[in-house]
Amino acid sequence: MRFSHISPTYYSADSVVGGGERYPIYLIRAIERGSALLGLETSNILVAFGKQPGAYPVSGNLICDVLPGDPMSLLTIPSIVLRNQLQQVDVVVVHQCLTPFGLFAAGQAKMLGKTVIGFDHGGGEHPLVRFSPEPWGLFDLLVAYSEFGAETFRGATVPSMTIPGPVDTFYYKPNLEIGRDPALVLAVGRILPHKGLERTITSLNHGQRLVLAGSTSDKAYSRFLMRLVHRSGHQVEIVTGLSDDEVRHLMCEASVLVQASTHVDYRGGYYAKPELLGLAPLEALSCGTPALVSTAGALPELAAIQGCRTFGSDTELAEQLDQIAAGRFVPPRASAIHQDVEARYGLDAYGQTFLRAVLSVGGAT
Amino acid sequence: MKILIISNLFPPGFIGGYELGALDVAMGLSRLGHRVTVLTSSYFVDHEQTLSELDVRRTLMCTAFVHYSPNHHVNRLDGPFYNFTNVRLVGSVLREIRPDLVMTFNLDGLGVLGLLQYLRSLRVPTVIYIMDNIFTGVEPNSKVAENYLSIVGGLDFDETTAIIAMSRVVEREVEEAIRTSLSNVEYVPGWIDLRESQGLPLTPRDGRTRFVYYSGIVPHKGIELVLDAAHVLVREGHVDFTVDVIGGGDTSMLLEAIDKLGLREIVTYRGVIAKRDAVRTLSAYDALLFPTWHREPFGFVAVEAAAAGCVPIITAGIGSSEWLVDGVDSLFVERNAKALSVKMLEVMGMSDQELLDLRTSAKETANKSFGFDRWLQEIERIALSLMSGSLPVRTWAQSHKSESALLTLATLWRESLDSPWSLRRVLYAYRRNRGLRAVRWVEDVVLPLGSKRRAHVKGIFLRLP
Repeated sequence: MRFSHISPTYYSADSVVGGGERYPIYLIRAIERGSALLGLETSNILVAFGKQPGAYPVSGNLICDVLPGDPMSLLTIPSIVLRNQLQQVDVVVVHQCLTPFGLFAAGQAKMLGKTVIGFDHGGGEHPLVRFSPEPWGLFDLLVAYSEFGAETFRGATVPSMTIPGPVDTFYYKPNLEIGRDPALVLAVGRILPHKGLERTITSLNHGQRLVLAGSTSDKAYSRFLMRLVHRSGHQVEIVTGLSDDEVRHLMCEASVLVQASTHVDYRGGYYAKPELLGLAPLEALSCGTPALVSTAGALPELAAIQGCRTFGSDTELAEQLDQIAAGRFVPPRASAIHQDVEARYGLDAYGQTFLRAVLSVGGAT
Repeated sequence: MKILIISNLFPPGFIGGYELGALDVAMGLSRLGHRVTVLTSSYFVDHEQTLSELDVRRTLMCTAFVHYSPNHHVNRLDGPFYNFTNVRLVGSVLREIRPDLVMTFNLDGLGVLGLLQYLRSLRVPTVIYIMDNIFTGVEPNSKVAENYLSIVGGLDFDETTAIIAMSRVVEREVEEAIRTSLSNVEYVPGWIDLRESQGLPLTPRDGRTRFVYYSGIVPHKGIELVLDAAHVLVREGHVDFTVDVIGGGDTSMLLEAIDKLGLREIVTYRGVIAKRDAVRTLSAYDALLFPTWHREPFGFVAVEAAAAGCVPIITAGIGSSEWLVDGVDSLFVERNAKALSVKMLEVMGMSDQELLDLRTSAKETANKSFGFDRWLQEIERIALSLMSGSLPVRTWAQSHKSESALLTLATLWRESLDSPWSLRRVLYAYRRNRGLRAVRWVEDVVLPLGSKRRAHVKGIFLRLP
């Protein structure tokens, strides 16, 4: 089976690199591992569109073919180029499948008779999805990676399923050579209002220091955070541009990772899907590091993992951080947390489940 | 073989040769033992059930021909580009009868591009029968067409599609319209039922050369050129000829022009004569005057005239001129009154024997080259050549999916035709700038829209979570 993964974002400095972009990479790894375990022959190509066309190495040996065109403006995309790409594969996996770009890519694939699998990473929905059942018909299978995410597909007229994960448990694993810093609290992700980073800053215990590792995507929010840090007097460091290895090191070093995402941001703005999975806490947990997650979006589903606790308010978060600072919170062993993540969200289990699902809806036939 | 024929119009009524050709082919294939279903619009109905041997379903929506006022609002995008209802109707009939082959005739007004893309996506063997440019509303280089090709896609035909064209004239016009080189094209000319011309004598002229104009009384068919040419001849003192005009159309203009030009003794309007009597009627004349427009895809009347032994005088370069030989079985003329009058004078100047020889030659060409039975076999051969075993089951399962895909792509296309601040952009802007900045976006983006669109946007916002 030959897979093509179509993503609107394009893995370059000009693009937005968040969970929506990391997810196709994990999926490809899961397919590779799953097909090896199931004895299937598969291949994957990753395709995106951007203002800077080229072949971008995104992770390991994986290359993303960035074709010319702005995914926000469909007329700039040479559809013939996309069709030529799609002609070469059996299964087309469309990421951000409900956005105009996602519907466009899925439509082109379906007109070519391809098996089309849709994933929503929270990039938005075209209004047609709300007004008509027809867009569902573009897909042979819709896959959510959390029960919360599956709500998006509630009205779908085609099969949909939830496969939790995946997270690369081979890359994110406990490292005993890195000592834990009991005072280090970590937050990872794009610095955007719906990440609720101010909640962690204000809830921090004075004995703790916080590292915010991410990329600055909203300058006004960054300024707001800087002012807050200044006022609070807490030890907070905002670091950007870290490599995956550096982020992983921080995850192994931290005493806890906090994911304080919110449906209502600091200005009152509402976010329907602030977290469809919670990749950062999953990666931290996979490293054996405990995580505190808010109740926004799909985050409460992570509480089933050993070492993961939820908080419903800033007060609860502050209490839990106090417990950690005081050493009153004794997390499970790192290896136990890791194994739990692997069993629930690991590449092998995910890959096999996904491939069986693809085969059930036609696969390469 | 189960065959689905799709045509915007279908007899018993007709406007031109296209739908009559569709009827001939449908009846012919049915006679050859194929199961033929016809899907068409309700523009013409068959109350008398004259076509009861065919399964004709008149359910399609056709925007090219409507019964109400031409000023009535018709969505200009539906007919040439995409009509969701028609795609769905075709899909439901496909799933019901599961044809081995689809044969399309005039699709103008049915959402022609969308229908052909739909059939292409299903890989149903399809014969596209081109007797005229079916893409008349697809204006090349227009924003509408550009955006359609960009977002929905073009017509990249593959081995599941064969094209039958009546002439290279119409083939070229279609290629220009869709900016695609057609491949796998076979040529089949217009035809006649040779039984209609059997036994018809070639009656010699009796002093005056008998010309006939047998077409619609509309400018593009050349009626005005015929009158002007006759006027030129009369003015030069030639009165040894007659011109009978047969056909419907702007008869008041015709009669007024005959009167004004002083042609009452020369030109006579004979009214409308049924198509089935065409060959018999034409056999009473020496030559047909058919100075039609240059883009005439073929001109069935030229071969009907030839079969009747009535020498076709036709515009050089039209479709039927590709099948006839100037000076041998027909006469070609430049499309102007002077040239036509010269050609008429040439015929008038022929001896009786010379004219008889030319008429006989025309008849022989018709018998040899334009018999319907011969070309029906050719059409059947082309259809059979597309068949390569039964269709994969997935084709029918895919049909709903293709309908969804087309609808979605067409929706994105229509949005691309909106003003620069399209609804899509507004929604995107809203989603990307929720909160306080959304207010500014609404002020900057939504308020400048017209009130109707503003209300639409508001309605969508209210439904947003």
